[in-house]
Amino acid sequence: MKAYLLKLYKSFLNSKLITKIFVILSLIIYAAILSITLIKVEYEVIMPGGLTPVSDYINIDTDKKMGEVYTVSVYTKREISLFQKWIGKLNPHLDLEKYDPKNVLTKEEDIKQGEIYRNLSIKYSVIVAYTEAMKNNPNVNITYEFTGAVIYHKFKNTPKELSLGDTITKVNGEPVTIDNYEKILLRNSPIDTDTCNVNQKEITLTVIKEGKRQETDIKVNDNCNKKYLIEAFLLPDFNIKEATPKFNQKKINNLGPSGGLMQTLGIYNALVDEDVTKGYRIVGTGTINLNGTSGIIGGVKQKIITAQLIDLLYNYPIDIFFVTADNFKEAKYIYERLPNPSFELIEVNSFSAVLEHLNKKVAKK
Amino acid sequence: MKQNLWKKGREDYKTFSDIPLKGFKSTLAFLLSLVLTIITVLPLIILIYQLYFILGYHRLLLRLLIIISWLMLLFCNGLSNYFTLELTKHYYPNEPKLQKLSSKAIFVYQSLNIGFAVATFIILFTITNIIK
Repeated sequence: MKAYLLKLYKSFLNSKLITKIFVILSLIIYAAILSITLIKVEYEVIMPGGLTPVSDYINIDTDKKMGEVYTVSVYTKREISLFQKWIGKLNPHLDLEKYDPKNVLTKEEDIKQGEIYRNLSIKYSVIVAYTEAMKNNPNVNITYEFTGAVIYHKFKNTPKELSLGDTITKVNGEPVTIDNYEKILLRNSPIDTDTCNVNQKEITLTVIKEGKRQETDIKVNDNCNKKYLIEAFLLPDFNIKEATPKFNQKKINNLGPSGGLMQTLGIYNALVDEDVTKGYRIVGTGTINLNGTSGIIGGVKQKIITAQLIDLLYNYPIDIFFVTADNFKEAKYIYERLPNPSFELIEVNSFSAVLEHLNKKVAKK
Repeated sequence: MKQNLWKKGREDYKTFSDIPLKGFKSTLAFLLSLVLTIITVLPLIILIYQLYFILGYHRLLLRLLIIISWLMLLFCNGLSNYFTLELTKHYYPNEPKLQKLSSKAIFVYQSLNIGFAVATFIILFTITNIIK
């Protein structure tokens, strides 16, 4: 092999000038391509994803179908190469976001966070849809109880004893409730320990960790004029004690809470007698809160583009795209630049606004 | 001209396959040719792989990438056969029949090998459909 390479080198030395230039240029291009594909940049790229029918998330034990109701997802990829960043800049479908590698979750934590979000979102959807359906159908019933506050995001100063997915039920023996959990647990922003003096005090938390209840003494920062104690983001968790008709959550790879609004619509449609979708193919994005309001989501541009691509590439036109009010301005900007979109873009701020809009529509032929 | 080179490549490849070569060096030449091929096309492999990740959401672009990958496979097949013959010639300098064979012709023939092209095309599209 060595002798063969030496022979190649000698033939290169004895070759014509034009051949030498060609070989040197090829080597430069080789090194350049290798460099731009191997150098990593601190950006994440957001790409269009796909549609998932709500029936893939959850099954309701009834003969009634959920209708053509879909959640829409996007793909994200971190640690991209310089080459991928350039492609991201050139491709109008993609967005690039810079991130600080010191402040991002690990890949495992990211997936865990997405699962927590998704599972809570499905619970909220069930509660909201069943509660709404109970008004129209006496055969529908649901009972549930608050179980605690779930940690769904950690910061660098979050106590090490706490993990993603832990449910905090008591603070110094005082029960955490749906009304007080924000006041006694949350901090409104992470503390910058470099710019303020921090005193520490010890508190005892009762935590459900991987299904087991345990008491944990932790030290928390108690200064800098911050209102709350635990540096983490928390969401209320519930135990659904009884639901009629019964439901079961399916295994699904989709992560995050952005399907909440559409999940609620699909579940609700399976519970009431009439088809509230009126035969329309409906896509939407927005989280669902327990009071039925809808919240902000990420990647709305790519979600609108996904709906358009599904029509163009798979000949599967969407009729209605519901978008939460917090994202509407951005969504409208993208929507107005789409060539002949098959769907109408509707701004909603709650689940009742979705029902209100569908109620006004004439059934699709 | 290219047609002639392809035909010559086919004949040369047949002759090459029929030459009995003693010792382990023919196997070594084959293995080293694979290494050289991978080193040669490595930047392009990484480039295509990274494009799959960020353009794979688009069905048409995905198909285009599959076709480019397929063309690259054909090129790699030609290149590895080129290197195999070159290295074998280097390791067996006293084989007059071998020395007469054209590496370029074999490169053209193997890059446009219909059997290999059809087989890889079917495999690539089957795998892509399974993953999808």
